[in-house]
Amino acid sequence: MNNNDIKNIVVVGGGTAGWLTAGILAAKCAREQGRDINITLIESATIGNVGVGEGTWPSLRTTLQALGVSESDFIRDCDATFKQGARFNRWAEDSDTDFYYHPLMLPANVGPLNTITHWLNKFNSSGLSYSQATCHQEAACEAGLAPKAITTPEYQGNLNYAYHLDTNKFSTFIKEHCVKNLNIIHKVNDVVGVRAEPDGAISALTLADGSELDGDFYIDCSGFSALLIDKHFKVPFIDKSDVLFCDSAVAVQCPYELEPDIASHTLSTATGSGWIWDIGLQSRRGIGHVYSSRHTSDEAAEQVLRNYIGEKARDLPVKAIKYTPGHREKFWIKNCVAVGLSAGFVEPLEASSILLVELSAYWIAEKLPLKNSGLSRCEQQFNDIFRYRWDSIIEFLKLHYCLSNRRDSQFWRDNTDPDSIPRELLNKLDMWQEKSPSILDFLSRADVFPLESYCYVLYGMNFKTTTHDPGDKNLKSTEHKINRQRKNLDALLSSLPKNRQLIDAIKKHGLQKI
Amino acid sequence: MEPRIEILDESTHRDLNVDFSEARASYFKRRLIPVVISEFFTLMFHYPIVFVKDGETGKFSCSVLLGVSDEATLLDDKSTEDDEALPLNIRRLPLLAIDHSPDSEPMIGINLDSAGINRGDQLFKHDSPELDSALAALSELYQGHRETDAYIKTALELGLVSKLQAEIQFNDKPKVTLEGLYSVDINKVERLIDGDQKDKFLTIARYAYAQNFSLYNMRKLTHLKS
Repeated sequence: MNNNDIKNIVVVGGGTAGWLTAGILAAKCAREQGRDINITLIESATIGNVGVGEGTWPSLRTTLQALGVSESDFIRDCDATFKQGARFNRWAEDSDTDFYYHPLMLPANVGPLNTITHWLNKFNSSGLSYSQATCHQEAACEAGLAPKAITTPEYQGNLNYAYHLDTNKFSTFIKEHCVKNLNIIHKVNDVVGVRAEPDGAISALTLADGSELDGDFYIDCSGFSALLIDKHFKVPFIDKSDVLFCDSAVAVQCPYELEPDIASHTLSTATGSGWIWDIGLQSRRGIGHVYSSRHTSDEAAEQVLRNYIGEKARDLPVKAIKYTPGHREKFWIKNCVAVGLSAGFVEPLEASSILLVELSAYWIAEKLPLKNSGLSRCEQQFNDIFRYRWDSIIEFLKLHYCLSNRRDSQFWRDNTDPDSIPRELLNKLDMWQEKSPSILDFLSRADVFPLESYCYVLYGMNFKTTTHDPGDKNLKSTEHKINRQRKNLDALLSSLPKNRQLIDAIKKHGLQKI
Repeated sequence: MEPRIEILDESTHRDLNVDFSEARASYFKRRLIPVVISEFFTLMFHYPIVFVKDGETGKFSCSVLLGVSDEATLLDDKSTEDDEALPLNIRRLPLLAIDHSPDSEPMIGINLDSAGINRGDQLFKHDSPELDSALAALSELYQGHRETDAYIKTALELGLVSKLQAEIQFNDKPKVTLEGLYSVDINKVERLIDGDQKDKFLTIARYAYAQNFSLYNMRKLTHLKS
């Protein structure tokens, strides 16, 4: 490979991953850093989008702002609603009363973790859960409230929030914005081959019409096809189905009959062989059953989904998705990096799909070398970091399963079998049984899920940590702070509109920029 | 309960008595009163003129900030007859405009639940300078809405609107932070002269400077008796 300038970037794939990556590179590299680069996105004329993931992280707010998108336009055009976390039903016990929240806000500082858990276990007469005691957001979600008011400026919130969105509408929206405002060159053609340098690096893409598209750096956002990372570079795929058993999904789009409230959280309800996601958009609910094909049949899984929805589901068409949970052995090779489904896929339990696209794109935008000679260093660094991130996401997803007390099906018995739990996670659980988790257990800057997220899941799933008695003074102080926070709750809740009420107001009037 | 509002009519309201002064006084304890830009050049000497957002639409409007509590306002030492110092939205009372459709002129209405109704003089019996004043105020308000909206739109498009960082400290009391108030950033307005937006500077500048000048009245809020 020659030591040329890296100037022409080619993104292969016109789904959410492709357009988001291209947009972030254009906004960060070209506009913010002033680099002289051209970004071309080539989209297949024949292959449709998978459209995975209707849940996002709060990071998408930063991304949309960086791209120069109006939040009001985004909400209007992408069927988007506000998401403030996830409610996990039936994960700890298979009962109607079992649920916990993983909100998007960090817990309030009501005391050291040992004191909080000690107080919750021994003095908690009103039966508050960990998230109820430490965070307002569960109450806002239970009341169906929005995280902000119509007077709150774009992208700001009284409570932290992300979005639920229609991914196909989102791809179209971002595409139009990128082409119109970020100077991304859009080509529609099918990539049928690769012309390679002697060392395997890509020198040009061969297209269906016989022409070639050459670039200095290639980003493979071609989805499960993995046209470059798999078909050309043949990078092995690491199958993680020994840890995460779910490998199939059936999904429906369920229109609202009237215009009911829109939940401002993802509902994740555990079943005997997986779990059901239930996401409220403006015009419909997106509902799907993710399941392990080793533990149930496709027909039975579909029936579980239909039973969950009820009579309304009878005539709704079901879309089936098969996947292998896992990721590539490496994501960056030579002058190519895989982003999105071509890099890997795991169940959308914590909405990690779009997040990983954002993280990858920001990394590339920050570190993309000026010349080819810098690529090998990036390759090493990117692969180390993102291998760590994939492992940590898989570990965090497994945490939801392995803490369960459910033993009502083989799926749950297998999921709680220590042989299916990564060694690092087992070690952490052993450690946290003896002493509360600490920020010192989360020192890597590449960590995707922070200590606070682990605490919401651990204590939501009734994980028991041995605590020491912190003394009356400390316990009273924590109790006082928890009570004070609960007292402030009414004022907060009365200041927030219902989720649908705010969405309707935004569609009609828009949000102000400031 | 919805107020009883009727279209003003000389025969229907022949026997109606109105005390305009009492109607005006009923707004004297309001903290914010919406204003239009044609009023800026008189009101700027008396009250801070700020941008606030509507609670239902989130849209910006212009208002005078009269107080920070329900107990005392900058109108307390004003006379109900001092047209020079009163916002049009007080001078019009108890009349109001009724918009039937965006395509037609609004009708003049009267709020029969307003203070001052069924008191004072008969509305249509004599020449009434108070009624003339209310009608004139209503007319100016109606004319001023569109140009005020245009002013706000231009200010927002040019990024001239900024959050007002204001704290009021009364004697021996903790500071009160005023939330939800915005003003025009005069430094940004000045920078328009050198850029491509010189035309817009000429459109907006006199109102922006008046609004900026009005902020000197913020200090009067600290002298209110509470």
